[in-house]
Amino acid sequence: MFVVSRYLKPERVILDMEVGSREEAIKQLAGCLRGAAEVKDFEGFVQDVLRREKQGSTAVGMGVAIPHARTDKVQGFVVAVGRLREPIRWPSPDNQPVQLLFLMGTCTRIIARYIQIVAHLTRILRHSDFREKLLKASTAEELVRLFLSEERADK
Amino acid sequence: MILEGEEHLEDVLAVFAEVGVVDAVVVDAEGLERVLSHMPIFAPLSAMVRGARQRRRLVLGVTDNDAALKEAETLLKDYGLNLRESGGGVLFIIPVEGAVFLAE
Repeated sequence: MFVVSRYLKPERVILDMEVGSREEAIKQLAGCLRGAAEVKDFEGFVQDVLRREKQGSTAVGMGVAIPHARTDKVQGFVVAVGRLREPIRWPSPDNQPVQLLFLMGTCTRIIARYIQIVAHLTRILRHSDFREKLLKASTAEELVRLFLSEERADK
Repeated sequence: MILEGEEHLEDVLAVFAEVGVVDAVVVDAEGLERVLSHMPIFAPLSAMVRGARQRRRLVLGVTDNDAALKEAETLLKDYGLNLRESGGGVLFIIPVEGAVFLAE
């Protein structure tokens, strides 16, 4: 089931980001979605993601955060993946600093599908060997291939 | 699904979400043995069931995914819950013949 990989593109992956804060990480990663067809209002989308983050941390543990927004500034669904050169502090259930980011946006009318994607992503990221591979990927293309491969083998 | 104990409740909800079960509700439930053991006439049974059955949860949701049962069973294994071996619960699908929804 190609849940995430079907939406993932190398140009929407940033490796070795250098940031000092959650806000900076979100803004920098969102940059690769500027001009994306799915994002109708880029600045509004980023503000919605930041607003959501302020309501409560989107870190899920295991060094992963999933900043996101359900917003009318997005059409359909969009995802970008970021990997930080150095993990940063980010309130999380296991108190681990965050190194992998999955920035997601979806239009307001998609609820079930969105929850489905987040549930799927959270589950496959529980696989420590998969996370290790993501942390070691040399290129954006390789990271996308890793997702394809993981999701192909998932069921 | 009837889930034994609480250890895997979050996992079950995550799996339900992933296989497309929407609007799930979680209900506290008690097994028949335990209910009977509270009734005087069945009091002698209480020694047999004490501690034998943990707290149960009934997780109810609706799906139009015909493969939801098989998919959920597979994904639950990924969370360490093998229903065929652990006795951790019962997963089942009941056809919904009709429903009346509250207006939004």
